[in-house]
Amino acid sequence: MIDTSKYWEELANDPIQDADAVVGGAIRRRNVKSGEWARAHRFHNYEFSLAIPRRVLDVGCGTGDT
Amino acid sequence: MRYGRYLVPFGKVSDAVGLDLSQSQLNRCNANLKRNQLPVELVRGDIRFLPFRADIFDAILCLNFLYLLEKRFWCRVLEQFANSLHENGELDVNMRMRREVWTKHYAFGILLLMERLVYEMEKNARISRLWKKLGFRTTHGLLAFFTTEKQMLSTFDKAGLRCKKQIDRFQGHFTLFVCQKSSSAIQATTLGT
Repeated sequence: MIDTSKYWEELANDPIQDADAVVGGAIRRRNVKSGEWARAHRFHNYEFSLAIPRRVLDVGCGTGDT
Repeated sequence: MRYGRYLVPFGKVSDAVGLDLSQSQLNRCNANLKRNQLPVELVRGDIRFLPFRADIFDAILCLNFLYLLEKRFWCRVLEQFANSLHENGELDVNMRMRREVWTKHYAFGILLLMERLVYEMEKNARISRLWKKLGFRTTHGLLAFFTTEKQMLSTFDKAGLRCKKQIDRFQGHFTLFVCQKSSSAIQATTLGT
């Protein structure tokens, strides 16, 4: 298993998280009304509606583009 | 380094697996992952015969990739994705779209001509192979196969996927399709058929 605790700690302490900023490939958002946190991924100008997935397959990972 | 570009951020938060057919490209990807100290698993395999169990991935990313395959394989590949995808999982696949080529970029005459040649090639695999043999390449150095929204939606349908969202990028040249397993496909998997 990969220890992600450090990563989340970094994310939580990031000062620009309120601004929907890209943080290491993952952005964190807060719903202003409910105060809930939601996460989305943004890579290469694509914004995914994925929550942080547990298991990911990247197809064609060795090509220069992906 | 661009190799494994999506694996690096996902590798930090998920159990990420990378798949590629080329050993040399996998080596490059691996070097990049090692530099980032990420224990991501890399698998060498053919996407037409995915070497994974059914229902195990929460997300499958197929970015800047599928349109490089010949069209006759698309349905087969998407079926494989649907099989490996978890019930609530998400498939993200982007394609090069044909429609904008004729409607928006008349100004780029030479580019247009190139796009037209690629379009002609896609219609005939023999010409495509001959084109490759002669050493011609598109502007990206690779052959790209264009598609339309209608064609993609019908292919998704055949493969047991349902398109949830479409996002146009680069003036509509690329479209990202966000898909989920269709209910019939989920039922078939549950019944073990």
